[in-house]
Amino acid sequence: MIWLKLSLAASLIFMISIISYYFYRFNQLYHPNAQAKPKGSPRKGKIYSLSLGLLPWEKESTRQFWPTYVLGIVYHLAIALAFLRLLAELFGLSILSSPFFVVFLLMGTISGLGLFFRRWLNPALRSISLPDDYLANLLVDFFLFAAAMSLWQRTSLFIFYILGLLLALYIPFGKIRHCFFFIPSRLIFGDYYGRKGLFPPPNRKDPFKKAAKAR
Amino acid sequence: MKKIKIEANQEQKELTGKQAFFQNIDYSRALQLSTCVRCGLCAQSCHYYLTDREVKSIPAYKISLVGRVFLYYFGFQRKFWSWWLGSQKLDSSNLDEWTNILFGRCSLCGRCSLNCPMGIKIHDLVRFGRSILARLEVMPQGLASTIKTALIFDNNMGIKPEEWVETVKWLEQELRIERGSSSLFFPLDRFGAKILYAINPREAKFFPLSLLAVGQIFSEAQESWTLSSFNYDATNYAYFLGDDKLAAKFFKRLEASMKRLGCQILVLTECGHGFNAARWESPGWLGYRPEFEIKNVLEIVAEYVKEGKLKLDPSRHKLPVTLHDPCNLVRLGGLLEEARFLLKKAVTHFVEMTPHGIENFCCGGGGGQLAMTEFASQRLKAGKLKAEQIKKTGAKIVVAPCHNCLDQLLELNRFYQLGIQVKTVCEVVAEALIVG
Repeated sequence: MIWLKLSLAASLIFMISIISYYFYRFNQLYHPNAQAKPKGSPRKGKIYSLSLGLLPWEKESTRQFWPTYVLGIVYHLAIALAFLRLLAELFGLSILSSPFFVVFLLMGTISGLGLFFRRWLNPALRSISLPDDYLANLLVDFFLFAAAMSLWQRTSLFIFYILGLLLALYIPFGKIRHCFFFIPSRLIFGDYYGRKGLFPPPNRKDPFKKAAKAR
Repeated sequence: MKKIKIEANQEQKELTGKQAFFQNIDYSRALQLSTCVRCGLCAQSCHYYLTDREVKSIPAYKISLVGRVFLYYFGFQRKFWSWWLGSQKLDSSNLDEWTNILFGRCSLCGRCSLNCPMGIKIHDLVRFGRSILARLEVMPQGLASTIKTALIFDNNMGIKPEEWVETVKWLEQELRIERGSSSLFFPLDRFGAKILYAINPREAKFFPLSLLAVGQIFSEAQESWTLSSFNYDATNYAYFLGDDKLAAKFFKRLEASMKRLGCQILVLTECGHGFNAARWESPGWLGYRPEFEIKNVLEIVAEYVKEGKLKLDPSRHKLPVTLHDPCNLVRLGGLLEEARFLLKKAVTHFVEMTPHGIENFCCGGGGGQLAMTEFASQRLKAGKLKAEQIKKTGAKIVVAPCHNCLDQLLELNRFYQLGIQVKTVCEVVAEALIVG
């Protein structure tokens, strides 16, 4: 098991190194050195983009396709949980082992499979998909399932490690690397619209505020 | 694909796809290209996809063209996994597809960007793709001609200086007749005026009434303003081409007029892309922030109404009026409220489209589509959504504060038999003006 743990650690270091290299190369590229006088607040735009802007009712695409949104959220939260669990196991910490997590990780697996079938069965989506889209999804689904099983039965821990290792090796090369680029990308997005005074939307109706008012 | 040189004397070596790619990629584009997961949620936000249901119209597909090349030049995987990850070299074999999709199936409206869960500025990546094509001298003939005309004549309609001066004189006479006062002016090259008003040359050529409306408004508000006898074109078709150097060159003409006439505020006409280019994009192209303020005429007119400088009588417009939010002015320009504020003051029956504001659908005339006659049938087809939106409002007057939108709406009116009048905001405001 110690060899497996060491290999897993090495693969995680490899993943971080390659992703860091990407960031380094991107950073070498041109950065515009002047921007227009802002109308709104770029800072508020960035905060909105990473907070309320992620809520399902804030965008037409997620309002219309809320089941996809729910699947996506459960899937990604489960992935985050599984990775934290992988790190906890690697460092010998006995955290994140509540039976509730088993249920949540299984829900994540089912959500992942839901997204897999959505991609496969929707002709438009299928036609823009690459083999990477399917493999990445299945690899993560197995990883989530293994994470759940390792909580259920300690003997299956080595499968969880192996899948974690494979995932870490694959991440820098396939679409899953978006997990590292998502936040900077949303920050660029928030800055762009925040600067123009469109984020947060000036006439935004906050459903929470509305509910509180009604009470 | 036939190559087109925009600037005839340009001594530029022919570039390879890789060189063209690396000349235009920047930090944010590289990062955003690495973020797309092809979730497909952008599809339902695109008026092209919603009207033709073709895979090529899905925004994620459009940016995948650029994304594949990005992976080829920027990843480790180009030698091994081109099939697996779709990485692809940019060469003469894919230039036709790029041109037909990036120019022919996108109006750079940014609706998909707003709906992208990953926060990808899809419209900017499409524009990036266009910029690569421009570097390779591959572009639609119509767009190239418009830009060439603007380079030669200093305006995209090829108006000669004497024609423009004559038009201004005629407008001045019209203004005097309209207002019954011989002391009113349509100022040309007035040094030291507060405002320099940049027009869309289409106004001078085909829609002089929109210029007259602005003249009436400025006169009523007793504004210190001027037109320029040259370098007055607010449009910037190089923006649609993705050629930032050329776009900067066009903006510098307006900057030169501002300096020559010593004006403080550059006010742009109701032109969506012209405003977006000048107000938001120009500093990035120039490498510095212009010393003067840049505003749209709607902002100025809204200020006049708020300050009480203009009094409006809404009862002069009894027909139902709706507003088309131009993408470059609203979703990409940040002018969400000005036009509707003015219309609510100037008409009695204002109806909103569904959806409207930053979620409004593009009319199909953006992205330089009106200049690219090669894609005219696709443009009219993509405008079906807008035509349906208009029909549902029951409006008889559609107001569009953008001349490209205005043209497209006039065509949609004929094509889909909408039975509407199409006007600019300033025209509606001028009609409601109570002359003091």
